[in-house]
Amino acid sequence: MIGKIPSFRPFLLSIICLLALLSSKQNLRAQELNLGNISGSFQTDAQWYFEDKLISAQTVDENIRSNSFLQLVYQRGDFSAGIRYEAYLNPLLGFRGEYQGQGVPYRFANYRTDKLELTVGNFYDQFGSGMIFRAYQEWTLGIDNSVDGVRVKLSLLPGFYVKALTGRQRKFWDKSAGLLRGTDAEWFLHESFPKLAVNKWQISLGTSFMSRFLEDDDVNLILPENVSTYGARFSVGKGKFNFNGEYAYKINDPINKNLFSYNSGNGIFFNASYNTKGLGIIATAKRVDNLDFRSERNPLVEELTINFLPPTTLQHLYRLSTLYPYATQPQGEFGAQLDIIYKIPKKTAIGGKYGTQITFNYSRIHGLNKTYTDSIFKYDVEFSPDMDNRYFEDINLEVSRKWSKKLKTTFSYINLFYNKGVIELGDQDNNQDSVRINIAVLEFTYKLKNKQTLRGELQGMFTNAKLDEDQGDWVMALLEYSIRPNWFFSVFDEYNYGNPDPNKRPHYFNVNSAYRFGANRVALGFGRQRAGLLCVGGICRVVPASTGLTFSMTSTF
Amino acid sequence: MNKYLSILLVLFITTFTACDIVEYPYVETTTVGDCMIEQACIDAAPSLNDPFAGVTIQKKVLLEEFTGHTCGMCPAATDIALKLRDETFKDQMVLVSMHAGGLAIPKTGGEFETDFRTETGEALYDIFFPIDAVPFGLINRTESEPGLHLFGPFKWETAISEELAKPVEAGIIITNCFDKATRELVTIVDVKYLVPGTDQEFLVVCLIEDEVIDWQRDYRLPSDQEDVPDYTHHEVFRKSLNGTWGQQLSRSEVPEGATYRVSLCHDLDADFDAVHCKIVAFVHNFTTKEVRQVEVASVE
Repeated sequence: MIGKIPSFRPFLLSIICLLALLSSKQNLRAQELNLGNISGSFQTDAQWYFEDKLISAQTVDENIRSNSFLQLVYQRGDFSAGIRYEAYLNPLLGFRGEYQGQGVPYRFANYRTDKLELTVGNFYDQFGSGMIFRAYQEWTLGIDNSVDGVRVKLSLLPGFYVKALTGRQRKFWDKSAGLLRGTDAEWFLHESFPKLAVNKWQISLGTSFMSRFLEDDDVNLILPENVSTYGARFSVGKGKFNFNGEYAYKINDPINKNLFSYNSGNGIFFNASYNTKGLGIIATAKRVDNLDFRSERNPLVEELTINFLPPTTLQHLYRLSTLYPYATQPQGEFGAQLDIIYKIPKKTAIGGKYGTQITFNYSRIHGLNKTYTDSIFKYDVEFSPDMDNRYFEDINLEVSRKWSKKLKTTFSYINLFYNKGVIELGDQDNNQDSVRINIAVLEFTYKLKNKQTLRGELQGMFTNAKLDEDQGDWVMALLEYSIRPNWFFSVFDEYNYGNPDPNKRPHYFNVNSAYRFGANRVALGFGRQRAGLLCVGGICRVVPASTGLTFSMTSTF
Repeated sequence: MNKYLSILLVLFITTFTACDIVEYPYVETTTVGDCMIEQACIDAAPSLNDPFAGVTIQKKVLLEEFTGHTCGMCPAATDIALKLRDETFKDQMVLVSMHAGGLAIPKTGGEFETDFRTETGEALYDIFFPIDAVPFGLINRTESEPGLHLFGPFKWETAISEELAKPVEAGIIITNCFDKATRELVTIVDVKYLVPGTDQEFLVVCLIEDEVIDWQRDYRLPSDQEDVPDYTHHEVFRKSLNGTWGQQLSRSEVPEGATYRVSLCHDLDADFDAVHCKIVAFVHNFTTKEVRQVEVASVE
């Protein structure tokens, strides 16, 4: 029987009343009675949708929609408790319709000392890099896979930390059918053996286990009810060097996303870095095969993920470069990334008076070569990448230079290879529908008098797209004006001048403003939002085109 | 150090017990859908380890004869098909009689009221028949000429002979377990590829019924007797048990020697005479539509 959130309403109402009571008297008597304190955060994002046939913008019957939350945390000594109220009235376009409604999907009570931490209710957590378990919330993507259950953390020996948890994940306003049980142990040797720390060694070892129980409800297949992942990790650092890695293994877990494969899954991740004054080098490599781990077997989108696969691609921030983001392929990928940051010293011929920073990044992802053997349920896979099946490649260079106390410029060049069939359609054998993209960006920041700043961007994106459905070339210009710390104004336009269809070459014009006072921020904007993938950390959701007035407010207290 | 290891050991011994590793064949061997497979049926099916051990695989050809009960030319074509099967090719030919098209539409008024048409038959007719005309046949769904798959009755023998001359590409074994009391039919189909296949290999399992007595127009008879009320229809296609195009056997290229098992469960309609019902199973390439091998077995 799956617990339903509404069944906790009496409990929640009690907590809310208690918090309100404590809050009203807090200032008056907090000092003398030590009633604890309350902190919180609030956010609302609303949009008024307008019809806009040129970009096929969707409209909604209710005209205005909003996503909002208020989180309150009460703390007194070692004890804390909190709730989060959420309201999707109705969910903004691009968010899952299942969120429609309002309620308190998140509440917890926590007791924490130096050696012990107990949590009941909802919690977020992560084992290692997340390849085995990561419960997190990403508000902008509409992801919340918090666990509702019990968690214990122990630190009984110096440098040795153990976690154990059990619970069910959030599934919109419900909970997953799958039950999670997991443990994690992490041993920081330099804390246990101080001599290591004296010699600047930082060494840690970790191991994790996570199991999901889900009833076999399939009439034809024999499905494993207890599916577990386990793995080990290490981190070795000394001075400027650090090297860490993790291996994860999952037993057979036939689910929709892996086409009900009975193969086991595995993932391996390495990260090496060197950092010294003016130079930073990071090299990352990752291979995953069939490592999509979920609380239920049917989800095909982003919900109910138990684990998280760390991305090996750069998350671009410039608007046009976000048109072709990479989405991690848990069913199989082999990727590597190299990051080099070098600062040319200031007061040199090349570095100039204030120095120049050069950032180079290269990443490349390939698929794995899989051959199904004697049934549709099992395949053989090679360890090495399938060099004939490239998913993504990113070569980018950024040069940032401060010319004077007032002027700073940044030039970026980005070259992308984007396999549309794999990334957008999930067809892992599709190596035909690919696009090569060149992007150039020039950014400047100019400080005016009285804490005023002017910032501008010019962006151009040029593709070799042969696909009918691809949008072709774009240009973009942006101008921002800010008066610290209160006011912010921006105007930008994205122009899809190279669209193969002359009737689909719109301007995506936007104006935005924001006002900040204390820990509060209010923003108002109007314009067009282009359709595409919105990605954070390799996790993506599809965003539809829209036109309208946006309002958002954030507040922390 | 021992303290650390002790904690780790206790932690993981208690948690590692929660693993269920499922071994081949992954599919339920004792149940199919809501049906329970009796042990006798499991015993009757070939061994899963090597279902084709000791079996000599013979090339067989599928003739799908398209017909209609108001098609006066069709009985003559059916006789040709039956003669080819019973006298010429015997076990190497499987006949399926598909009622489809305008001449299969039922009538009202007491004659030709039975609707022999099926969803699968109409779908195939739409795809393979550029004109509304029967009798024509499909021979292993191969092309009779570029872009056309229809063979007239007088070309069936040659076309079947040509198909039989080709190397045998796959073997099929059908095991039927029919419960007379509940009319529950469990069909176990084992397939073995003797040649490498593509990633578009599909298995179709369908039900046909022989000796169905009903109306049929027959132009070979005098005009006042051509509407025959008690004509014997042969090998009437009743339904596909796994869809018009069947189910995919492999998501990647099929290696030579690969074997597959598909089990299906079906409640036999009360109107069908189990004694005359048969299961026809064939593997085909979904892209080219060509049939690689076919097999037939009685339900009882």
